[in-house]
Amino acid sequence: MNNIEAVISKASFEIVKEKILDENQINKLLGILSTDGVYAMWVYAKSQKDIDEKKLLEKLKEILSIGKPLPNDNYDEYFQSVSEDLPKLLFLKQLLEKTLIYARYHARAMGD
Amino acid sequence: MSQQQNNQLVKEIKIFALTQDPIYIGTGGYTIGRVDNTIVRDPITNVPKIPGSSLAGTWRYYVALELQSHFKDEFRVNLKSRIKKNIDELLNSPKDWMKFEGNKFAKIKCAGQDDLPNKTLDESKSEESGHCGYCIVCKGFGFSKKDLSWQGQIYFIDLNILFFPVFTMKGTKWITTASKLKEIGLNSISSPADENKIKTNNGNEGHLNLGWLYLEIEGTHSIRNENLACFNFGNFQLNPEDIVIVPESLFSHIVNSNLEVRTSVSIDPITGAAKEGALFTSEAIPRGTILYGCIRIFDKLAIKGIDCKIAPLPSINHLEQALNDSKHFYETLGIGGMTTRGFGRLKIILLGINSTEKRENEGNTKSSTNHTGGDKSE
Repeated sequence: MNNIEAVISKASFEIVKEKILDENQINKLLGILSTDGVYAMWVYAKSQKDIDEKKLLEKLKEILSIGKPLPNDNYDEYFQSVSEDLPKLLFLKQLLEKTLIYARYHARAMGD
Repeated sequence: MSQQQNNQLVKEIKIFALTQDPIYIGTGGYTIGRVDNTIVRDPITNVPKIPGSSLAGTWRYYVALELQSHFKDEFRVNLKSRIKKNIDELLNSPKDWMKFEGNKFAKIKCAGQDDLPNKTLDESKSEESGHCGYCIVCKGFGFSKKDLSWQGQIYFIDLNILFFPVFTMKGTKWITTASKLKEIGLNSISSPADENKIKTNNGNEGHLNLGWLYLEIEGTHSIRNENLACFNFGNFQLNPEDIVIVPESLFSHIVNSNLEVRTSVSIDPITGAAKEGALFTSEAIPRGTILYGCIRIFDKLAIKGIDCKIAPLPSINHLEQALNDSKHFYETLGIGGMTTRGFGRLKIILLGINSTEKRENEGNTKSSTNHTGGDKSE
């Protein structure tokens, strides 16, 4: 992984282009991520019927693996274990925030 | 607490400020973020702040307002009627700093951007608009006219967050760091040894949540009541048990996770309902935050005695009294944006003012703060 910015910008663009999230959903996820953390965002995404969290995580997979290796697709286990290392968790939160912020502006640019 | 340097050429006054409302000082769309209207942050730490320029601009206006409020009605607007009068005759119950002779030409337009920068200093005396170039506002904060530009004597720095309120399972706690405490002179307080741990007053609670982060308590922080005596904002008094020391690396994360975020919408006057597409979000420094900074006043003694258009100059004492007497406007008119929408009020303490004058002014401030409220119980 040499260029985190490239990974983030690609993921943020695809999330909007493939209509995985609309602007309103991005705003809500971003708000929850900022105030309640990474796990809260994941739980919220799962609770929303109109969000396909599997597709979302597929797009975020590469970013998540920067925070902590993702050996299999067991995301429940991943989000629980990633909280054990605080500096890595905070770094992952920053990466996810940045991804969603870019996606927010992509959604606006596309007139979602 | 004050520092008088270089044979009293420069005096430093410490400022502590308590936010009584959320404070919004926007970046004007030059940054992207999780909200539409982002606030100014320190580029190094990513922690929100109040820029010195915002403080200077508002304080200039408030000194001008305070001065104008003492002019007798017949002289307030009519500048020509002031010329043959003595300054004492123009003002109602003037304080010492208001008697500065250049204040004869003061007007409310001495604050804000100069409308008439192409007028000479002499021409500006009788103009109804633009900076006059003679009064304590113009000389204290600076001006630029056609024939003379003056830097001003009061230097502001940014107000940075010192104590930031966070809701925890033990109620609201104010987080800070050892380096911030060192900046205000508390050198003996050390950071937690572990970067994932925090320090509290008791040090034996086990764990504490700071917003969404749940952190282990490492020990006691050894801050005492006497260390916090200067943070007496009327009814609000910070206590050692309210304070949590967090590692430097976590401070920015905790602050940014606990900023106030507001969503606003424009109302369609026809339907009375929210207007489509007019939703926007703003972030703000929450109320209860304590900020610190300083003001330096440069006496410019070296200029005294030189035959120069700028003479006479206001003294350090007059300038600090002007600042002290006008700071109460921050408790009513506030600072930053959306001050008519529940944002902006700030309560300011200045440390370093001459003790007798300070007592006198605190008496005045107390009577005015009784009307404005703003305390821990808000």
